[in-house]
Amino acid sequence: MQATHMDAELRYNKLRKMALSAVSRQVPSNLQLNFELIDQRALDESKNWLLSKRRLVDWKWFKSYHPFKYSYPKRFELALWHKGNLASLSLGRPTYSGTGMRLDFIEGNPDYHGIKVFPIVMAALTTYAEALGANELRVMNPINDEVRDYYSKFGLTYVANGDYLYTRL
Amino acid sequence: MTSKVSNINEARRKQKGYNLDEAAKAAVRRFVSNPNTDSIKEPQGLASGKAKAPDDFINTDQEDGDNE
Repeated sequence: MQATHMDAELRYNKLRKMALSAVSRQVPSNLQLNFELIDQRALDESKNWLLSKRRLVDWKWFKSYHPFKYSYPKRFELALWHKGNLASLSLGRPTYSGTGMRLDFIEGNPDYHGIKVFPIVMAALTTYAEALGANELRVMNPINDEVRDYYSKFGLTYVANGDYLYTRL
Repeated sequence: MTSKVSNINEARRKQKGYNLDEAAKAAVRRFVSNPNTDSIKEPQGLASGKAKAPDDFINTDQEDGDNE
């Protein structure tokens, strides 16, 4: 890893942690949420998702995460824990122009439905995007029409040419 | 790729008197503690994204355009 890459990784890791801490302080404590960066514990836990019959994707987070991490130092990442259960994993990165933040991947635990994960992830993504000075959020490639319509209920607008939803900050 | 996103305007937040806690508070109010969205049920099997392969989250697409 080059020094400049390492510097960027350290710098934005600090910002990611600050953003997640800030969100954690603002959510009602009775929700019993933990906002963490994706670590080995979360990746190991995600292996259980491979066995789920309810799962709609076949992603291997434990293999995909590290290349994504290396490629995008400014990425957004979140392992959302609820009452000790891994509720969701998500990854994002700045748009090409640098004016927005994309949520490239989000997956809720297919076998745990103790909490609605999307609005919580969006709150965390928004906070990090604001810290970077972004003015738009994009949620890329909803898995199906039901999920797309669900996102739109939070005020996001679907763009068919690109298959994403966006909202201004 | 990372050099292309270096123009995120971090100065913007400084100019606005940016405060991380205030931003988080507003974000939580907008998405989490919003009475208009409280009753919305989340689909089971929630997921978004387009992976090139189950173990490849990068090189998934060409870049998107902006809405500006």
